[in-house]
Amino acid sequence: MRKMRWVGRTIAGLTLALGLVAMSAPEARAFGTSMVVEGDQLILKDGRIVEGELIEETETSIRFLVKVGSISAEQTYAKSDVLAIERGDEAGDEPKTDAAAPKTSDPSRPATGGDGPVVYVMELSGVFQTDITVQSIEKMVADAKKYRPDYLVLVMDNRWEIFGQELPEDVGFFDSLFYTEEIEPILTTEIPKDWGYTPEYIVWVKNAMGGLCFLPLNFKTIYFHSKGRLGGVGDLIHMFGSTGDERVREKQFSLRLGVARGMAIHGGYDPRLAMALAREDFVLSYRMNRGVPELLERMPEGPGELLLTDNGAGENGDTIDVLARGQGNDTLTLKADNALDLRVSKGTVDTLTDLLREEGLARDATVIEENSRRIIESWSDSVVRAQRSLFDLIRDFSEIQVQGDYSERTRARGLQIRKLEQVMSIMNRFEGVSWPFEPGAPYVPQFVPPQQQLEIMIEQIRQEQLRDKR
Amino acid sequence: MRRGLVTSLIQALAVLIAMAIAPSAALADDRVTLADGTVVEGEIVREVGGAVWIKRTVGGIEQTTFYGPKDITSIERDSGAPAPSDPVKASDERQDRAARSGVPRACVLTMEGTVGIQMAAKPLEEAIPVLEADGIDVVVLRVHSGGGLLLEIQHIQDVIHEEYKKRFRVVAWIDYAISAAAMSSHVMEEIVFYPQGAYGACTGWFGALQAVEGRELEEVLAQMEEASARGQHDFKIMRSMQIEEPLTATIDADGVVHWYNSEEGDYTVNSKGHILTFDSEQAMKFKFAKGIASNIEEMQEVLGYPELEWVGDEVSGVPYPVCRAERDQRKWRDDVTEAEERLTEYYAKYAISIANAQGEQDERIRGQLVGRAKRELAQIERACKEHPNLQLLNGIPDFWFEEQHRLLRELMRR
Repeated sequence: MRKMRWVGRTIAGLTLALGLVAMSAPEARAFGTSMVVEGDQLILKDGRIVEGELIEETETSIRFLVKVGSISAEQTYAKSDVLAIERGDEAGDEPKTDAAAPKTSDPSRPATGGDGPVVYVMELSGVFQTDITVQSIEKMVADAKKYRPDYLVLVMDNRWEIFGQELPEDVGFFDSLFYTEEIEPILTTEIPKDWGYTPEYIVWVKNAMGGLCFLPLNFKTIYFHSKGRLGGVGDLIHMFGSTGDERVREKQFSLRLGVARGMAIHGGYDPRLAMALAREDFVLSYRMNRGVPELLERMPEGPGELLLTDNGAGENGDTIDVLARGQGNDTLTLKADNALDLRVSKGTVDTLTDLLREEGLARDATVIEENSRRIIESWSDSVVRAQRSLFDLIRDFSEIQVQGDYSERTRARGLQIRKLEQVMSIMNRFEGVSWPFEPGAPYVPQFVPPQQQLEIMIEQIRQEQLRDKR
Repeated sequence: MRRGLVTSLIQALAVLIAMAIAPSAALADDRVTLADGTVVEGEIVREVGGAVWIKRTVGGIEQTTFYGPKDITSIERDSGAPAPSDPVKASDERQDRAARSGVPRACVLTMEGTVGIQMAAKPLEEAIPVLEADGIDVVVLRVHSGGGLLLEIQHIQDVIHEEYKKRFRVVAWIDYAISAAAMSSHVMEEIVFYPQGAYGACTGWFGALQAVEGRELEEVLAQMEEASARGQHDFKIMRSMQIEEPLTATIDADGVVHWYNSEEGDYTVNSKGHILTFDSEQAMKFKFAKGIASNIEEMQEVLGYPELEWVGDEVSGVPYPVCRAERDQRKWRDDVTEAEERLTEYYAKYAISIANAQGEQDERIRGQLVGRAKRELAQIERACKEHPNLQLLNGIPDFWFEEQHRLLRELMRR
């Protein structure tokens, strides 16, 4: 059977996680400000009267929190279906007319100690896909939501390592892009949908290496730390070696770059930057034209032109002394200086205070800084604990002796099944996580069978029990 | 399943004959003048909210083309009668719903997952009566798929072209349409990108990155030439998505894009030796995409409707209303995904039960084990019946089921 292989990660699992919106009323109505009106009625053209709270009114639609008894759910009505809106107690107030961020004095916010804008700092630190995961980011987003922040500062600071060993800049892990592809919609799609408004995003790049490097490119406001780096995906055209046909390898490069370029466009950046980050044979230079960078898909041809990345071929190939100093240019690594030149970075800042000052937020902003750090630390601890638990469970399972009389054998098999079910439960909770590697310690993928195998093992034990005789 | 040689030859011949005998003129004499000055002649078969569907014959292929309100400057009807406000033939229920709203009704249907497994023609086809009952005028097909099976592409193309386009205004909304997903979507004239959208990389392959070559490759190239005609896209675009041919373009003074599978155009869209995947900027610049939309409000603007009623319920985590037909698409994907993931497990459990039953002397216990085997076999049969591509992919011939039932009967008789 010949088939077109599916390579990209499907997000179907995420988007299929259906559930009726806003069955928990307090969150659903938290659209900020005091503009949510109590006790409203919508009178529809078909004669129905809907009671609840008017949330938002646009030229064409009305968002309404429908209340029936103690249950409430958000609904959107076409204005053309609505005959009249009867306002309740606070009839003088206007509903919000667009999804603007809450500015100050939002009664649904926890006390933040000030009237200025609220800034939530989301620190994405640790190893990408181990510490920085879908799960840990979802926890941070849920925490941030409570504060109704006007600004989300995303601090990108992943440890660039594998199996505990630090990696040089010229090593690439392009394909972790597909994990970034899972994280990005949590921030750019789900937050606006779930919070009812879009906060201002500010990205601060300390270390965005590997597939994570594409995440900042989804956002318009990026600052760099003076030692900031964004790259580590230059392995693209080498990732398949000489396997198969050139045409199919090119297809694989093309579909991957399609995602990467799309993320750059999403944030308003030139998609050729994604090419330069990833593709060794791609040549990119630039020159400043009246203060605006102009990208050139060729080698520099004059003194005013600067090389970003050459084609890495022949004498253009980076030498070991250059690589050892992190100065290679076979592929692009964005740093504070070139990111600033290319207008990817708005500025170079080394402290959060400087960052907030640059954005005009230093004086009266309330900054929620520690929560995300605690969340990610707690998550990281739970990964380590889970790893140990898995090891203990598998060891315990293998040590269970099915012997003795019938009831002892039955009890032993029951225990075996429970151990395996616990393993499955942990693996489900940490789905997608790249398990940490500790020298000398067992590595999860090497000792935990895949889910299907666990199911089959349980079935085998059940059938052994069935065949056992008293 | 790839199209057979004979089928291809017959179809190619049919196209040639049709081209030779079909009038190049339209089916009737309605004239639609477009904003760019183009005059399209044909038979207006449908009109909703200022948009028209016009049927005409191009190159021997009869096709119905949609033009939105923004695209149209004027309409001249053969009969001279003013354009009816909504001549769509539909069920009473549908008309009733439409009348209540007074504005066109739209919905989003998602095409996701592996083409031929989750993304398939069957659920799309089954959605049609539901969409009609709900009075849907505009179907936005949101695509997020990394590709899949070549065998399903033609089925999806046919459902969209022959069924959807006759009934609805159909728009592709491209998030991630790679390989077979792009090829399946290529019959749609109206393509809107997400800002981060990607569309292309349509090279066929198998095994360890082995390219489809020779006659089979030519068949797929021909298949996509036909799909390009159906979707009114220059076939050279898709060709550069399939094989490493260069693609360049020149935009003339009237804004019309001329394509070349050579280096003679003004703009290089795809360099020789590479495979093309469009991003949203390229797709817009070279007029492959009608617009860019990151949400349904922007989509409505791109489609040119001052008002559009998006049908469906709000669902947590889904950035557009989920209509009944979309709910069915999601259920289909859930079901097939579970079947796909668990087929190996069902088979393994079945094999364990059979092996244990064969070694069991106790008749009562053997009966219980055969019962378990029957249960697992039923799961396999159901998965294969509901999702025949799974059976094909796993290489399970029909007679295998008969053999297993015979084996189970023998085990019970022992």
